[in-house]
Amino acid sequence: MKRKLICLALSFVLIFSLTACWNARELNTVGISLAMGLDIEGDKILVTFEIVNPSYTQKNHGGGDVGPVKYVQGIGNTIFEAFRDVSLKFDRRILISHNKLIILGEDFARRGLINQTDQLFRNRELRETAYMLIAKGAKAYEVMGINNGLEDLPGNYILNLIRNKRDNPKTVDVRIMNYLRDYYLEGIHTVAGVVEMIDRTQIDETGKDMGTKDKELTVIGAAVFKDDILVAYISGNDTKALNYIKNDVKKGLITFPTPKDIVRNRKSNLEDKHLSSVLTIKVKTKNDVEIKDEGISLKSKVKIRGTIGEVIGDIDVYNEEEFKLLEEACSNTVKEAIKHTVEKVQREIGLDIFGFGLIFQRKYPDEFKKIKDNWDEIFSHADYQIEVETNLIRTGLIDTPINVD
Amino acid sequence: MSNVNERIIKERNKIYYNQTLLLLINFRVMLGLNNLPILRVPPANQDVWIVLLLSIPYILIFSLPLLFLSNKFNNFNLIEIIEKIMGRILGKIVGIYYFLVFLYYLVIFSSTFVEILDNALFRETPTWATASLFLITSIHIAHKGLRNLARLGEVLIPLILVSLFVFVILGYDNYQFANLFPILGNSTFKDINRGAIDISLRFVDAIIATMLTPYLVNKKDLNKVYIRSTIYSLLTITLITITTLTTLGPEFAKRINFPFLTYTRLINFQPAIQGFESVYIVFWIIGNIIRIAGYLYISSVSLGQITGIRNDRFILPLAILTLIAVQLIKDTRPVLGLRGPFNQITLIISFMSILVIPIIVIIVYLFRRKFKERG
Repeated sequence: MKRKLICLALSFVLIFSLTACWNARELNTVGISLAMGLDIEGDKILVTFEIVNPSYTQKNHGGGDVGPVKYVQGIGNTIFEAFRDVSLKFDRRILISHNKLIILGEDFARRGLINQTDQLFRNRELRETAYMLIAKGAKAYEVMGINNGLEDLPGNYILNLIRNKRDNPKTVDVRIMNYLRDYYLEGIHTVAGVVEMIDRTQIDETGKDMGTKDKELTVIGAAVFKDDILVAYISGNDTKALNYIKNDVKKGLITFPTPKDIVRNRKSNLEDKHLSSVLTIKVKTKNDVEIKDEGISLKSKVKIRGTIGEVIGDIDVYNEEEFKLLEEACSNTVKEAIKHTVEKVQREIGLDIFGFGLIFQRKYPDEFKKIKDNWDEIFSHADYQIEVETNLIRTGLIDTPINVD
Repeated sequence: MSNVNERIIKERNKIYYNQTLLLLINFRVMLGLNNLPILRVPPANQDVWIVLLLSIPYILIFSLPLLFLSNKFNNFNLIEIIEKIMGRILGKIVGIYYFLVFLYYLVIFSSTFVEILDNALFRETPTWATASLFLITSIHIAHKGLRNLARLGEVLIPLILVSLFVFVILGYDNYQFANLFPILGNSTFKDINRGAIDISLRFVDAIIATMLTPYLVNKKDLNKVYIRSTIYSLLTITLITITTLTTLGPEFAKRINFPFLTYTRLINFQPAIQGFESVYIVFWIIGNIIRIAGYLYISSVSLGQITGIRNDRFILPLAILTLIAVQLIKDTRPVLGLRGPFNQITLIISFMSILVIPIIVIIVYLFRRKFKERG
């Protein structure tokens, strides 16, 4: 009996004490952040949050003019202080668990990331899978809020632009986790994605504002870091080459000059620039480093499997010989482009962003210990060789181009 | 405790080979899983998984003295064995030492568990509330006796192990096997052996195995269960370590308090399926509660042995003592977040408990036997 009474009393106590989690936060008490911007303002850190506006959907249907997101800012000596500053201006507690984007202003990135961003990794709320972007030539808050897509939320608009890398490798999709993993490696310098504001010609269906300029965002290119400091940007084409070398290309487009010796000039003008395109299905790259008498030699072997996207010119891809020439032309273009990028990075940036140092370290660990402090110097003067092999495995719905008789 | 009572308790708590195997695997896997200490022991680079594999023979060698004693006196637990060999007074003193060792591990494991819960789930919940939650559960389990603890383990530990393997597979997209190279390129033979010895001293479950021996249905299974549990658990931890290394990289991984938790946070299927860490945390909590309940039970048994009072009377007081100790430790300093004294103390205690004292006891036993044979 005594035991039963104790159990009953305990159950009674538990009913009231186990109603919910300790310090539970209800949805109507938090502001869900989708994107976060970090900038330097004077000597302080300015943090900008893109907060989902929960009242948007209902008011939108009722004709209200409330936007889908709100922007709140906080300033402080550290990121944490800036986070807390937001609480003095915004009524809800910011929840960053759903934050998918971290945009860093160029000034912020040029000051070095690791020392300033410790809080982000210590805080369990922020997901390590959030993408990291550098606002090229701008403050983070300047690019936040621009939405030229169909997505309601500007954060999701940028997120989808990054995800489009699967179709166009002229950008990089670096998550903060990838950045940190690479940061600690010896023999590679980190890169991050870039977001840039560009002018866009307004196309107005009324015809009144035709030609006026509007802003849109592009995520083309990549930002290069030395240690954790932003030092340079590389172009979209160079980023594409970087992705090829890093074996990080899924699908993409390769446009190359149609082999000239077989352009028969039947229906097109010879002066025209004939370009054909290949859609890549699979790209596999193997890199290697060798020590030679004359120095270090860097090597890449790229294998492309693709399908013909378009053929402009008089080439007859139904012909085995000409088909081979098309594959060769594709390979040569990729080869030239990658070689050009590597030599440009060696000459202009002088940092190994491709990870040849990692291969060297793994292949020659003892030698790497001796030269690791000078690796970038060695990389800058290293000879680079590349082999590209293209296999076109599909021709699309037609084989002989429509302009070939 | 009267001999009859003692016998009844042992009879009631008989456990089978599979149950003992699973309990020992769980104790070790949870120790390795919590903060993956292997990532920080020498050489602390991409070769630590080799260190783990090398630690298997070291663990088995270090356990030899304890296994020898347990095999010789397989009807008695470690404290009874020591009392038999060393005599009543000295036996009691060494027995008290072992009780304090169990209590120390109970407190350290509980403090670590509070730290896990604080970081993973209850960030603002006070220590006493977090610790009370799992200690009440552990009291209940320990009160039900070893047999029920083993049955619980038999049901849940396979689930925990399977879940770990599933997580390993789910995160495959994030693997970068290049992080494991160069193999043995940056590590010296000395570093790897130092690391293997260090890590093998952290796995103190040989003492637990000797406490469980008298409860085994088939005493001859002791060696088999010990060797197999060591191999299976270390292989599981090696798999987890390789997974973590390939995903996070060796340098970043060793900066993280709970690397496998971070690993599970990275598992996601585009665009929105993520949050796998919640499932992992559930299994993590269950595994740790089983371990803490096990140590609470063993501590109570050792205290019961020393005082001659039924062990279940000590479960609640020991849990309260643990709660107070955890409160004092956790409200003063982090356990995992600091490379502080706990690591050193634990290594010294392990060295004494696994190697030094058992070797002394064996020497005394051999001398006594020799004198007995002469006499």
